Amino acid sequence: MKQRSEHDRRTVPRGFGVGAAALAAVLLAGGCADGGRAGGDAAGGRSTAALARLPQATTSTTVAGLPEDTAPFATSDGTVVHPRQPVPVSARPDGEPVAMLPDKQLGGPTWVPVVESRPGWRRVLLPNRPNRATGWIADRPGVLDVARSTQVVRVDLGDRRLTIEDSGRKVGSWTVAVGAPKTPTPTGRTFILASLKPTEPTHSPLILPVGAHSETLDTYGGGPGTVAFHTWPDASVFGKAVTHGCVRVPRDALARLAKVPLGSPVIVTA
Amino acid sequence: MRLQQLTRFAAATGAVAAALAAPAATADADTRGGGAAFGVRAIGPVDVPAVPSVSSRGREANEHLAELPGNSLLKATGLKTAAGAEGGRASLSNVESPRLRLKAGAITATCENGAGKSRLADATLAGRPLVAEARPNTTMTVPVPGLGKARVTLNKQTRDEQGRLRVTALEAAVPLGGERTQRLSLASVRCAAVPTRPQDQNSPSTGGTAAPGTGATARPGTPAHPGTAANPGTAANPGAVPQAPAPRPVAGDLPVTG
Repeated sequence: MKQRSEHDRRTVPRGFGVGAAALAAVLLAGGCADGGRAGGDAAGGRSTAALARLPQATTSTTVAGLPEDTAPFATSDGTVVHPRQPVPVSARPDGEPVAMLPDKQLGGPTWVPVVESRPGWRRVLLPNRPNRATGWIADRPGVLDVARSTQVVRVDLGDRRLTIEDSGRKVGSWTVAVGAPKTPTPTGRTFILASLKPTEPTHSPLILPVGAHSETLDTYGGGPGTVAFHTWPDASVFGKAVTHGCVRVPRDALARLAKVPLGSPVIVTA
Repeated sequence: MRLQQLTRFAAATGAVAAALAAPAATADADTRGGGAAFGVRAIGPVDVPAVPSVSSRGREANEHLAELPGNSLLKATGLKTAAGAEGGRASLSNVESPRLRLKAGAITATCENGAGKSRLADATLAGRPLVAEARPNTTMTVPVPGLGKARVTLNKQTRDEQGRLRVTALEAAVPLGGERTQRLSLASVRCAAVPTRPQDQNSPSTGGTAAPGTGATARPGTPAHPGTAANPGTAANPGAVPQAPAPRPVAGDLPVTG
């Protein structure tokens, strides 16, 4: 927990775009809830300074006060959104912001899945702790890029099987390794957060973090306990519950997973 | 139970026997081309098969009902459905469900050239106004006194395994206590499958379904979504929602849970 608190304090000003210029851009673009308030009375009455103090929604942070995903095993309609700049996140449409969603995650563009829409607002899954956190962001032209992913990744922990679907059709299925009983892979709906090429690819040429975290480990290996897809040099692990939460997959599965768009839903069932 | 209700409903609606003989399940399961449409369908304690219901792969076919046959859930008049080679339309008016506290002057859905849209006129649920022209898949949670929180989806747009778009103007799930839920679909149309462009056929990121009409889930020209950098749009369909791109790996290290 201590590590996350330090991270929060460290990253909020940096990731927010180094100060007032980026913040002003957010507010001028209507990133605030009502878009009609001026000056310091922005985003539900919050001042720019108050917005700058909000935690960022990233894989390294914990954000309290956000609603839990109410349909954690449902398939969405495939809509994914990318904020072109940091955008405020609220617990409800028109609510006061409780976090900022950066435009980048782990060096790549932020893409998050939409799980609900209301006029002018999108409810999205978020990459921060706790698991299954969702939040509402304003749907503003020029601020949110909207796209559609037809692909869904399903992980069945009981069968230890990963399946990729495209438009409802199975395009591949593999036996994988999942979390051990003491460090289980968390269930529920999350999403492909990033595609990372490690500087020293000791066990996998790519790491594909998702928006979920270990429920039993606050941190792991110096990281925030993020769950990910990656390969493993020893094929004997496949079909076993032996990991610390990650899903280890065969190489051909990783090659196919690498083509799944960022923000695509990942549904993990027991 | 459901069979009994359906039987009672059918018995009370001899005038629409032909419509009942062509339930929506037939249209949904139809893997052939062509459009399909129905006016009303209810699933739950009160079952109403899709009526009127029509599908066609060629010339336009129509099914009309002057009035929804008597049932304990919903009243409606002027139910009209049409379907042809490309799509279809469905409409009904004077919709009222005292049980669900739902009212609407008119409800329509259309699917043409791979694009779906819907419209509600003077629609309310438990006194709460429903958006007339909602963006695709707009959802609301509406407390219905005495029942619970109803989940409403306006302009619901989904695709089936054949890539065919279905647009349903209003879909509601209303809790009735316990584990009972009444589901209701009003004005629903299925488009014909849009041919896949040759250049998309081998695209790994589209799975062969990224037909030109894929973007039809957004209404072309919607003011809230003009072209963006990621979606510059085209002159023919400036508001189309593009396929999400395959990710580009970035150099980086994150210790994950192995």
